[in-house]
Amino acid sequence: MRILIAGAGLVGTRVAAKLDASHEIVMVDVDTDRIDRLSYDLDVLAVPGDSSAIETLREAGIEETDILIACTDSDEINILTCATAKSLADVTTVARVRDVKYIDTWDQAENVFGVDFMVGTNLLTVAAAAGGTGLSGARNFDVFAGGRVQMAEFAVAPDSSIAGQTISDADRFDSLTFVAIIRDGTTIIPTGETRIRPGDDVVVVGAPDSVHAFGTELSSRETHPRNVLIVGGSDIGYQTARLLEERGLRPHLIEADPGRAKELSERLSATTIKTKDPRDRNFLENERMGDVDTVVAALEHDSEENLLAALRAKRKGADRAVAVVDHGESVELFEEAGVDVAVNPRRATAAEIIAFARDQDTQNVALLEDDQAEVIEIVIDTNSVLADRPIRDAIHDLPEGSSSGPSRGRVAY
Amino acid sequence: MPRGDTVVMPGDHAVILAESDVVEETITRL
Repeated sequence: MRILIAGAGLVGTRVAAKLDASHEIVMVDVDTDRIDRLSYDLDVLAVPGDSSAIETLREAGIEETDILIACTDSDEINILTCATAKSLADVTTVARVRDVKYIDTWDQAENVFGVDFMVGTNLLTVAAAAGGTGLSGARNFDVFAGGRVQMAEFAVAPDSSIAGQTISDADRFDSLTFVAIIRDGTTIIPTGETRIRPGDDVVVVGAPDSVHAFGTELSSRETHPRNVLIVGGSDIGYQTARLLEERGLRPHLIEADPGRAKELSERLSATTIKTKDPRDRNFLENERMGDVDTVVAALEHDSEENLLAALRAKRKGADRAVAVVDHGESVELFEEAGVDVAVNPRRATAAEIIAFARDQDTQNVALLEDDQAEVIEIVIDTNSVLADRPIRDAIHDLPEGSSSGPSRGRVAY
Repeated sequence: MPRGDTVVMPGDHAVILAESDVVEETITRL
């Protein structure tokens, strides 16, 4: 396929790096230095210019393009780029946007903006930040098959029940499969004889109840969340509160700006809003953190304060700390510092776009440990090496370096 | 969750973990 990526920032570069081996990639960006560097680093055709301009898209070969991915830092440029491209060619268009109002409009008005697939950065961030709420210690979390299958990554403590056991010994949980071990930053696909060490992270895939039971045993704590504190009333903070309300929770949210706090209190009926400055070092002292299960630090464009708020919350007794981090390269650093889950909006966006662009049968993608491995959900067709065969036979026809756990179910979602 | 003798049928959803350098090849074979 020929894929045109408008915007050579972190999202565009990440998507290109994942797809350039198997697709023809063209990248467009207004920054000529950045686009020049990319053409050396990746196997792409680099075109300088404004992607929303007709002449730039023509120069980039829009007429021969199968998929256009607009992922600049501007929502409006991305939408305009898709609209312009649609007027020039029969191309599938993907737009990355932050502002939920564009997604709401696109959802409600079919085919509006000339956008075929809209990727909401903030909503994906919320899903990553709040998705594992209730799973104590889960570092990475995603859902597949419409929620019937979950993937979660857990740290193995020295006193964990599975520390020192082989995968075969640890494999005693119903409807749960160990798919990877992350050890010293390296992803290992285990065999039955692989021994789990303290300090490892284990990645499991299974039924939601099984993943929850496994997480509970690992943490030795009850993992039903009672009290969630959201730090910062940014759009991500607001959307997180809204998602948790939909799940029946009654979160607390702290926002420094009285006007924004008032606005949020009018929009969030089950959330307790407090007007406090989250950057105040003492604000958590009065929040009875011993009663808080989960803290989501979602201050806008303030990764450092998110890190500090998350770490202070952990020190005060919070069970799970999630922090939004603006720079993808800081995710591992945050987690090494003690944050349970560091969520980078651009990484979450890139994973969603990669899943869309790769193959129509690829339903979802979760990236593990700085892209070393991926968990993919894919619909099996009649030409698949897995089709109509027992897994023990078919697995030999998959490349070395993959492990599978098909989830039976032909119900579309 | 499947066992070794589970037969995968066309239309089933498979959840697969693959190392990054074999992802494309895995998808192609699937």
